[in-house]
Amino acid sequence: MSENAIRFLGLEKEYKEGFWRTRKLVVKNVSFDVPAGQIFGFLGANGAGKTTSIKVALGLQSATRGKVEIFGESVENAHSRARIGFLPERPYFHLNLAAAEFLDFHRRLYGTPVPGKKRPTNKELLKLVGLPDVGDKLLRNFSKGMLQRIGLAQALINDPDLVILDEPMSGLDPVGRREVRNLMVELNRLGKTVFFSSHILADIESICQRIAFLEKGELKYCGKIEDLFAREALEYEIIFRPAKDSPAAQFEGLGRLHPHGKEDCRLSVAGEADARRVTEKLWAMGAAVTSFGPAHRSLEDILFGEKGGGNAIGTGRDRA
Amino acid sequence: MLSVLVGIALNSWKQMVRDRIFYVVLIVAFLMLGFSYLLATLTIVESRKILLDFGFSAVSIASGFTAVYIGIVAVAREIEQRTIYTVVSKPISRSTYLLGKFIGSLCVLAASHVLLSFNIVAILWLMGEAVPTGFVACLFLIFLETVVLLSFAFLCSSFTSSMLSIGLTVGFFLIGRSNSSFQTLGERALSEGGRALARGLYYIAPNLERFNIRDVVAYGRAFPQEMLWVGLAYSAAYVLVCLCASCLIIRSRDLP
Repeated sequence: MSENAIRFLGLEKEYKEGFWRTRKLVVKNVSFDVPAGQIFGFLGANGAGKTTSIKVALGLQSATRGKVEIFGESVENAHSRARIGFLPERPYFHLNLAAAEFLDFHRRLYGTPVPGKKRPTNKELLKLVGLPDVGDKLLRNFSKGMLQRIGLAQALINDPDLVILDEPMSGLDPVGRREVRNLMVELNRLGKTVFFSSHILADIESICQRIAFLEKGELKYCGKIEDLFAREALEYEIIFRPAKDSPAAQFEGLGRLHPHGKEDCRLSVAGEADARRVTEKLWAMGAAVTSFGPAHRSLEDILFGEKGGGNAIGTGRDRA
Repeated sequence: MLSVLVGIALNSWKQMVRDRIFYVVLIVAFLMLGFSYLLATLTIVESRKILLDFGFSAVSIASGFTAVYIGIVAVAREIEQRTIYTVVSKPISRSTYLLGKFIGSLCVLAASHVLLSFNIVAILWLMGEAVPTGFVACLFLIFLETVVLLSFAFLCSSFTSSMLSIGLTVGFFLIGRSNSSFQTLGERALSEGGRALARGLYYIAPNLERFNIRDVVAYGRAFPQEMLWVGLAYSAAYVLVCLCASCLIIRSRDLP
């Protein structure tokens, strides 16, 4: 059996809010495993409970009920964090330090290195995150993107087995986002487990082997992305142009009808045989079928359906 | 463990000595000391007493302000600005973090105190006056008072916001400086209940007057030597209690 890097076991987190300290459950009985050696995407809209779950996993907050284990060790034990590298959601760093001082300080927090395990030097780390010549520069003079990169460098300073990144692409330009994605893939190639949260579906879809999807504090899905796609019934899409003076309403019974461009329509039909029958009907009704084939549904379509979930999940295009 | 502690203390030191507000406090203190020199040169009699009076007060105010400020910056602001995240998510205990921060802050406080003290010596030298008996003891007691303030600021920072911590620490300072009035109140109270209440407050509230020999030294009078040991023991007890309480609180606290 493969080792689990992280285990969420019935995690619940409750906050007290407002003057009357009313209780609000923000993470509800979340249980899932993050197998070692994978890139694992933790997905959910803003406020879904991702950051809270990560904070509990790092010992920054305590669980109301349930627990989290890191490589089999309870997170209540500070030693469990020895194999972790962590980058918080926004770069909250000591801005009065120079980049090299900042890295030296974080390296020192890990104590004496384990014999046989070599920790990367500042030069190697800064080169890795694309900031080769900034060792003497104070962090207060860094741009947001540069702070994100130096944050990544400190997350890798102990040559961690597990890298936890909370929204690592936020605040980065498209080039920076691609570089971070590539870095995560490279870290995974080196045998590290990468666990990162995001609400940008495109980021998760492109590199993750497994995902967990959280909605309003509840775990909605956990597993491989391909299983999620396979679980969906194969749909076919037919794009056609109706005959002139032919109302669109008459096609509604044939499948799910969507507008497609100015004059064309798109019909979604389950199964190939039905799709062929519908196509013949369309021809008979005088419509010109311009495209016929299996639908390519995105992760966004699968997780949120046609309604899009109505929340703050981004597709990647809107955040570029 | 020791290396981590030193690392946190060193980082705390670097953070604070690069903070512009710290220098603003020092500049204001130097200006106050300069003013005391000016005032002393304009006075015909007791110029040394005026210089020492103003000098000790300037050092006391500046060191007190520094203690409150760095005490708040070291913990409450770290929690508010979330710079604490990447530190306590490492394999260190929060008590180690707090202790390291305290050591770093204590070093900054000591350095600024020594700098200001040398400034008074320089002014005395400029005026051709000798350093009076008890001068070092007086400044040492002022330092101990600011260390108590620093530890109380740490305690407040461990459970509340920076603004509230400032308010509570300033309140602690004011009550501590006027502690003897509780005793006077007790003596003048008409009812037995009032006397008991005033007596209780006198013992519960901090007594920062234990660190005050400024007037005695400024007038060139001898001061009871045991005040040094009493002050040292009193401040050590306060620091110990405040730090232990801070550690207990911060260990169980959820970070925002």
